[in-house]
Amino acid sequence: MNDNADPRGAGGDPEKPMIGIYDFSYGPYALGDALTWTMNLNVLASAAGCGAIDQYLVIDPLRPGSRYQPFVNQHNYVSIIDSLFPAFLCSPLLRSLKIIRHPPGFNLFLLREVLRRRPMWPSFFSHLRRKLDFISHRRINAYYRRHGQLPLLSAPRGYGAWADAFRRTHCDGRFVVAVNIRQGAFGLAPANLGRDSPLPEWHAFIRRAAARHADVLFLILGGYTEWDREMLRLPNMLIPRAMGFGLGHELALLHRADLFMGSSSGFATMATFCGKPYLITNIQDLFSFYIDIPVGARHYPFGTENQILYWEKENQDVLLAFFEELHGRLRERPAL
Amino acid sequence: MRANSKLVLFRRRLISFTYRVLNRLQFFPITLLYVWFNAALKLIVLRLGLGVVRVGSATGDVSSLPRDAMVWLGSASSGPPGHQFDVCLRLSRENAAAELHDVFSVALTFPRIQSVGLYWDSSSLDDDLHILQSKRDRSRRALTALHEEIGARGSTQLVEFLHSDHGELVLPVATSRDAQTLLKRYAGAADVVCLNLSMELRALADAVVRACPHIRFCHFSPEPPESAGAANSQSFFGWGLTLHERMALVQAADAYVGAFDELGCTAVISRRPAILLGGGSGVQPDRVSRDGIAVWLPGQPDPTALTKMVLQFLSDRLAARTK
Repeated sequence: MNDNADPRGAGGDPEKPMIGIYDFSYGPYALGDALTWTMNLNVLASAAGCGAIDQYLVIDPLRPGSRYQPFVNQHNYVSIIDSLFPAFLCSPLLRSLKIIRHPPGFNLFLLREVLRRRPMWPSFFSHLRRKLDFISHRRINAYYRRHGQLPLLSAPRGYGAWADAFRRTHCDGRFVVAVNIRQGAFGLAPANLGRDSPLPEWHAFIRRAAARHADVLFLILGGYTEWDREMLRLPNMLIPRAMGFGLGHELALLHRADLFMGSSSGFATMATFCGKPYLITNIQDLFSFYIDIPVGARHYPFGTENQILYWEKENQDVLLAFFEELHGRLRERPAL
Repeated sequence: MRANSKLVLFRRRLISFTYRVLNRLQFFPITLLYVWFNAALKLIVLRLGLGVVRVGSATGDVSSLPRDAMVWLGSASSGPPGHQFDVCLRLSRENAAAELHDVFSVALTFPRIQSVGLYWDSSSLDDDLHILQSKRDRSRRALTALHEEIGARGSTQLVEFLHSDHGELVLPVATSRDAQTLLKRYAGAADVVCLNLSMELRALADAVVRACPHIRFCHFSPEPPESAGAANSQSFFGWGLTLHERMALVQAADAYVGAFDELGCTAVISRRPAILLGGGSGVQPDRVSRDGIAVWLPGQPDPTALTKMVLQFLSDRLAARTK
């Protein structure tokens, strides 16, 4: 898989860029939202016939966070944006990426793009009203209904080849399952702990799956603080963060994995929009409104039979049953 | 003259006040006013010739992009106090490697950089330079002079970096605090030395750790030497430290011995006693020293002589620090 190949112009005009604005004064610092924003940009660029994307990430150091994230301040925003940055490298159409921490500079760029009538998301008016629909799948679903396919996310720019090499070195032809278990309670800014998944159930599942399928390798994804010590004792398991790697590497490994399993969270968003087979568990009912499917639906509108949504809190039996179903089907599939 | 400086001060205060008011009132149509006000402000800055932009190109063969970018940014972001910089980096789509995150992390540590642009296309870079540059700098000759090929000058660039003044390097406060806390708990009042040595130099690490039982050593290498299990030695590889966290440990430690990579650059910029090993290319000098505080050995010195030199350096520098 070559992520570095120049995809510009593939179905779009390479001289006509789509402008993406992520202003952190009203957009959240969150992996899932950053990836959904990138996916929306891909879809809108493709719909507008644009063959390139210019991204602007805007941070005012005096007010670096939105009212929903009051813990972000001028002394810690650098760490927070640093830990999120690779998420903005996942569009194959990405032509330039600007991180601007000086609003006057950005506003001159903004007016230039407005005067040139470049397609922009959010629109100039939405930006002025501080409105960004970073959660919903409305545009993505509409695009899929019209075209029957989606312009998917790629591994972060430059990390794809690394992930291929990692698989050759560490995975040795095994069936690779990328796993992310949401543990907000272990995060640096704990929030929405009700969305956390039960770790003991996942431990038990991994032990049982490894005992039954020796060919399976689990890659545990997530921040270094977000998994417990028990993980280190599990069989058939690798933790990229404990091997010195970061978010860019993890997103690339997920992109190259055979299957993703995990709670509804940032990594699940990557799996959703990069075309991986997946099981996403513990989805909040209120999310149904944003993704435009009823509570309990087994698939997204653009999902395949190997892309499964499970709305309840998971337990080891459920995880094992879904894993065996997906593993069985995917193992039968001829290698690409 | 006095009346003029009063006027300048008044104008600055008025701009600052307007900016703060508009920034507080973030609703339409105030936000539109804010956009126009900010854009006008930027245009004035450009007209006055105060816009400073640095353009680096990393499309060729770069041995370590984060290190070379740090060397370049360290030099590029030095200048008169108060000056802010815009930085543009032209990258290759074809040769992209898994190191962009580190480049970004490095750029964030220079607080005088107010924007960083990463470009995989020359036309978009040229287009943006018109917005970033002062009008008088927009001639073709000025544009050409502006571009610097990152890492192209090999060892010469590293020698200049070692001797030059650098832009201030500021890590996030929580990261620096955590590094201080970690070393307080690990070493107490003892001296701490960061070792960042490759597999080939593990004998050096073992010898130094054995010879200095009073010093605490922090290893960053993926392949920790035998001595990493010694009482005065700890491997931090596998601790999941980010680049900022490792840089903060280098800043918090008393000396650094190891590769001339991002951590080596951190030691140099932070003026920590440092022995830097390897990392050059092209024609290389035998040894380069900056005031005896930082010494760079680009080649492959005899292991015995190197061990002796490192021990002498640590003894001298750590003693000098406590005097």
